[in-house]
Amino acid sequence: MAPRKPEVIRPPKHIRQKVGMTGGLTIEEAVGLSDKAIKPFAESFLKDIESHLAALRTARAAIQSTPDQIGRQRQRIFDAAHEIRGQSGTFGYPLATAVADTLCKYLDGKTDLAADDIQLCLLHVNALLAVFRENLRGEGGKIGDELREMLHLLIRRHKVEDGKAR
Amino acid sequence: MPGYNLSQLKIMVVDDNPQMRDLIKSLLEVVGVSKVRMAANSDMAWEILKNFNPDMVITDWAMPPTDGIEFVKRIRRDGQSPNPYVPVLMLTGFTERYRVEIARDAGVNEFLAKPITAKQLFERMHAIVEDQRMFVMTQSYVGPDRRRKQDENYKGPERRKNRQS
Repeated sequence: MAPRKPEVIRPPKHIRQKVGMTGGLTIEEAVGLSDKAIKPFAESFLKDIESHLAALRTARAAIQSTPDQIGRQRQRIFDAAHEIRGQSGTFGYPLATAVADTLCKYLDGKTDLAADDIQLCLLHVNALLAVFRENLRGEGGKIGDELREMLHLLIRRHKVEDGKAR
Repeated sequence: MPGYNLSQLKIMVVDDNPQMRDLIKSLLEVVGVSKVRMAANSDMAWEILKNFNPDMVITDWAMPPTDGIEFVKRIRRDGQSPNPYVPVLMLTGFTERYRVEIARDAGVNEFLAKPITAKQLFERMHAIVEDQRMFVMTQSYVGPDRRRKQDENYKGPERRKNRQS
């Protein structure tokens, strides 16, 4: 498919050819009907989240008992946090998404974790477990604000101390 | 914003998370799309692609064993691809800027960060319907034109041969 000679062409078919320009729902109308479509998934979302929280608990225990296997646990934590950040906001837990997102960004690209990294990582894991244990929906109110601020401050301080400020 | 009638569209959803696949399918049904095929990974999606010939592909990024980026490249570049021009919307939890650039350079049309909202999903679908970009095919890139806007202040030479006057 990749030709040697660069080409700029108009695709032979466009999706518009199969789309009626009128007669469907506007975005606003569709959004209005979407809550009903999302609601049935809330229960299975919580079940799914529980499996990711279990993975976080397992990783936390493993880090504490066998710190030499940190690489494997790093990946396990990243994968679980990545799933949590990708789903929680859709189902009313944007605070969980925010905490998981910070954790993923912190771990992204790190192959090895120093003692400070592990501490920060575990703080995030504990925060995520707390969000669901306390059922902190929405932005989490005052607790949510404090939690976000604390995690951001810790990360900023850590990066500066570590000479890794980006 | 127009009320597009999307009922004739065929859409393929690729995500390793069954919940997310079902949720997207459910949201597509809200806007009248009933012809939806789903796949749990890129290899399965490739097989479906050949027979289903969708009008749009909605795919996740992180999926074992072959990720969504490789899948998009395959759609765009593989000689066996049934439709290298099919619009691709990537839904992913990866939000870092460099990741968005990787997706763009793989040939993705639109990018949507999870967690998704219905509004964002519908907006991206409308953007794809309204997308009039040309298709660029070079040794290193196959996909929609990555220049979304013409720079009216650009005074350098036109590097694209069929745009040279």
